[in-house]
Amino acid sequence: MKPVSGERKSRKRPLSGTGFTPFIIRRLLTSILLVFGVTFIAFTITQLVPGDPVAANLGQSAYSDPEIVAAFEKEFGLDQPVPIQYAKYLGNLIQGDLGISLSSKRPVLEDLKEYFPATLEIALVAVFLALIVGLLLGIISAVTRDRLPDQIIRVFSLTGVSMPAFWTALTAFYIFFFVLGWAPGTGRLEPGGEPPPTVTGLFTIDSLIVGDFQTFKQAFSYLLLPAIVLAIYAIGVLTRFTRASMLEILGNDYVRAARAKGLPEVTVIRRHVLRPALLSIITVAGVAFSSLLAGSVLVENVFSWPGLGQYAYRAAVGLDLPGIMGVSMVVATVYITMNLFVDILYRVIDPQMRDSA
Amino acid sequence: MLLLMKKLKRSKNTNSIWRQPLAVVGILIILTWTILAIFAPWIAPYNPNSQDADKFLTPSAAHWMGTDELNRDIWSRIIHGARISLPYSLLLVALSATLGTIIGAISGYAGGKIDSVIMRITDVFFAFPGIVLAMAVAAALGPQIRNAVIAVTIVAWPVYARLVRGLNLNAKQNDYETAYAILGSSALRTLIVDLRPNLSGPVFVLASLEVGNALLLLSGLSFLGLGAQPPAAEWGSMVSMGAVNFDRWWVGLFPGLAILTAVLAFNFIGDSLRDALDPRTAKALRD
Amino acid sequence: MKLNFKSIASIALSTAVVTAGLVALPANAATKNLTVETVFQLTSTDPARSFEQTGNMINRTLYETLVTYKGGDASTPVPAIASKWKVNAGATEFTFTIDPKAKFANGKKVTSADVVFSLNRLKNIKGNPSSLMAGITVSAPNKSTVVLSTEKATPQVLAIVTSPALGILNSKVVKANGGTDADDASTTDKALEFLKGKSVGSGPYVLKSFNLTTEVVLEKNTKYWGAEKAGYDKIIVRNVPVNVQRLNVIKGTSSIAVDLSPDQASGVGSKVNVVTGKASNVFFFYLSQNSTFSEATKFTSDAKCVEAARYGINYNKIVRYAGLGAIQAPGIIPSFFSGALSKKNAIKQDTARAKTAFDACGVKDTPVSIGFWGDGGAVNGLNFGSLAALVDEDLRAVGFKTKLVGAPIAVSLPLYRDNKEEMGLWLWGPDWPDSTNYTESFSPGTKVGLRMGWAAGSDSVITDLQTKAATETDTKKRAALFTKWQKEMNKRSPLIPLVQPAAILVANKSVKGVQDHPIWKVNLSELK
Repeated sequence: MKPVSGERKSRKRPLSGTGFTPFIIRRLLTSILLVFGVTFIAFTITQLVPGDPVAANLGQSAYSDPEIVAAFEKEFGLDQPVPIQYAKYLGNLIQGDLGISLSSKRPVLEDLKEYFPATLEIALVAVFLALIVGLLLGIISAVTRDRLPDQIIRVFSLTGVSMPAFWTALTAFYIFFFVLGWAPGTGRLEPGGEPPPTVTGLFTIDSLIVGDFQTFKQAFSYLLLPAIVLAIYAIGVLTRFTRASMLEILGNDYVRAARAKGLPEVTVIRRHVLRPALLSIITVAGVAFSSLLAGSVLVENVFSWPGLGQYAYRAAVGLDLPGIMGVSMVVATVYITMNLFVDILYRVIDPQMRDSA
Repeated sequence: MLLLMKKLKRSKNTNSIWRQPLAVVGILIILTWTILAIFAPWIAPYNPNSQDADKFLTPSAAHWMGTDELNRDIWSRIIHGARISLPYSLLLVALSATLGTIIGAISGYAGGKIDSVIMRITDVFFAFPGIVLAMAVAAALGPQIRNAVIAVTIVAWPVYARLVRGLNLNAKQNDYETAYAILGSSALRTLIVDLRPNLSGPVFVLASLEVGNALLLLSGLSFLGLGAQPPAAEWGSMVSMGAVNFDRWWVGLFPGLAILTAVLAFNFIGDSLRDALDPRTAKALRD
Repeated sequence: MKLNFKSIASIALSTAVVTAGLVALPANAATKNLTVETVFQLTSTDPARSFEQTGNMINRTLYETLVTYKGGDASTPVPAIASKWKVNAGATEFTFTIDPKAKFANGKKVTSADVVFSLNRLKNIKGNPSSLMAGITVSAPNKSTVVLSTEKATPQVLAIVTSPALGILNSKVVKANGGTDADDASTTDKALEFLKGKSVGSGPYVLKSFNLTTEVVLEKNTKYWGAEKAGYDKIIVRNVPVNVQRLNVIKGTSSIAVDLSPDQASGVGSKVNVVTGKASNVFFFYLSQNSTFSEATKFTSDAKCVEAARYGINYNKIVRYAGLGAIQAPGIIPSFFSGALSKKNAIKQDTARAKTAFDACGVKDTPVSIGFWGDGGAVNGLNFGSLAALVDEDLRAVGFKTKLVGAPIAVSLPLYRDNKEEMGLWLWGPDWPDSTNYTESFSPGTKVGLRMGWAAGSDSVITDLQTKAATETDTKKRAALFTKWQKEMNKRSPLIPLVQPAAILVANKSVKGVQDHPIWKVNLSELK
């Protein structure tokens, strides 16, 4: 649960080159460096702690047979010194090879291709929901500052960020599946349900591409509850951020000037407050999105959602280093890309906004 | 808790804090949990670990919140659970705030290369999915609440480092700092003695905002079986028992509510504290 | 039901469809599907690499073995790919004759070459189940005969052969897709990915799709050679948490729930059958005999200390926690195997005796830790953490200063294996369904014996019984040896068997032939 906009500060550092292209190149390089930093930290920390990946992935009988253990270590390169393991990992990484997962015994890249879209799908829906609800509540909160609606929304959004996601998931599942029978159950599709042909890996999109509305409806009904549960935290964050950014802008001179001109309040809010605030809100939404990817661990666990979170959990308890690295890289890359994108966007829209935002 | 209250009184903005109803509610809730935790053996109606023949008794007059699969009284376990969740969350925040403050102070004070290296490292940590790393570390160290605290500390310090470094840079630009430097005050002295009062306020507020998150992460790890060990009555692991037996709704519901109220209370306090601060620091905290 | 136009119309329509169906038997008649829900313990559908329960259940029906068991039985082998077999007097040579009718799903005949390939591949891949083949050599004197030979008497070979890991693959197809049975197969065999997409066995079902986390779909083998054809067009094995399994089977959205605990199986209503068997797993507790490992093991290796623990544990409470159908494990050998102890041999809690023994062993205030699978690990609905909490309370009552230190398998298993636990709570499920698996694993100096710090030569009486049981070929004498071995174990070993849980299958009443099996849980091929 990091501050959702931690990266924003770095934008305020003075940039030595002033041109647009050098800026992009510099930011790109930093981003790539960051990704390598992530692999380095993941590798170091997972090596520093004790634990035996061999035991995690071999059964009791096999584990007692030194020959089998040696074969396993050789297969996954665990018999080599750590720095060499890391160097090899980097070498393969540059060629787009993330190694073989110790627990699933297949390329991590293949695993990620399968699990990442599942999480992406609920995270996208969650962010979409959070944007709509969060913006709305945030605006109401800001314009009714310190009055009753604001107080209520404030308590509401604080509650949103205070709910333990695993418990929310459990409670929602109990109510909507067990008691009311509205939610369809665990997983992404009905038992034996044929996933649509893979294009994006998002079942809803893929089923629409081939025009299979039955599957679309099914996939959508399965993802709704986990997505809503996931959205609750993001709604809390976005509501609070929207309120704060709007209040900040409301205090600006030009807003007062606009009001003085006698413009209707709705117009003032829409044109002079919401619009400038929107960009930074979207920034936060973007970063919140990448934290949702990681935060989905606890929610997926309850819904048996076959996504990145479940994969990360299995990799972690199995001390499956390539798996852990793979997940970390995906989430970090999304986060870094989001920031890069936003940085460039700011730069394109208005160089001066960097300072006022 | 006492420290917190003292802090609130000393603060220049004390008046506004006490006028904030949310803060008052938050403080009352935390006070209640603190009292429950301290006097748990006397308040809890049953021994939290005593087992007997029955299991899964529904909530009744004898067992307000029912019993679990070993027929342990859930209400008693929740009260005893406060002795785990609250102190360890506070410890976690204290550890990561200290670590982050030291690193941030060094970074801000040293400037130049050291600063940019440290800041790149915090960048990496921000990009890192903290819970994944925490899971891996907790799993490898062996699940103990102590190890979960270590695991989360490793991922939680950069927030403080970033804040302290920023504040330090601001402070450095103040004239009196420069004057100190010219007068030859030792670097260490400037770092520790003179910056401290300027930093403690914001760091404290950030810490108070983070206690809730710490509790959520710790109980999340326990929920996954990577935190507290049985038979400890940790709230997160109690919820995971509820997940296994979810048609016995009381098993998971009440421990979850305990987490929610405690986290909410800390957030009420932190949020109000932040609002009470001057707007510039408040903004630094929000970012 | 409220009758309105719509429902009348739909009834009329469905009647018409059914009638038309009866008359015309259209090709697209509704397919008959079976949904089985379980918590996946699965790594692949490659027999040579799969040794987990879900893998066994699926592979049992995709691949056939030389001989097998019927229903819930695990003692009388019946023909499968081998129509007949004979064992020499010394139990060192097992000759199997391949059924001339036996055909793979692609229509090709099963030959002795396929058997030799499959078993050697299992051995040389050095995967999880490879240890089953330890000491066994395979040869094929002719196209329809296979001989398995061992150096010393190994009566359990017939039992080993039933393991789904010894399933027979079509060697030609596997080789064409990167498979090999060469000595270096552990690094050169590349058929794993292929075998996750397609099955190349001779069983009544073939693999349609495989997903490690969601579901595995099996389809009827239309060319199945055996007498008992597949009962369903499609079998879907789904990965579903236990609590949801319960709801789905009650609602009828699934046909079989595999992992319910007795608690969860109670009150499921009258629409389903509850099939109760005994699990083949036995949970046990031990005290490390490695006196040099730590301060605490100086004491745990003391016989008095073991006695204090053995008589301090409240077995009734544990059995009650384990629920209906569970029994106290009187010995380590589960109830349905040869020589299993009866209830009257079970240890009973005797707190006075435990306390006296405890005072004599001198452990007093030394803290002692109990290791176990800690991150919510549960088998047969029994949570290791809860079991540990139960044992913990009893030992504390005796006077032990115990501390529970559970951890994920990745962390706790190496400690257990390397004899680095002071006390431990684990379980044993049979590698092959025969009592020798226990004598060969728990005696001094054997696999688990060493994990408990119990070195070879620690107890000549027990080792003697182990050796005799291993080579005895007379069924009755074997059983007597197993019984004797266990009784001695209960007197002097560091091992304390705790509980043999119930194994429960909850199935929709429409499903016929549901029986619990100790190795593959449920035989999907037999379901109708």
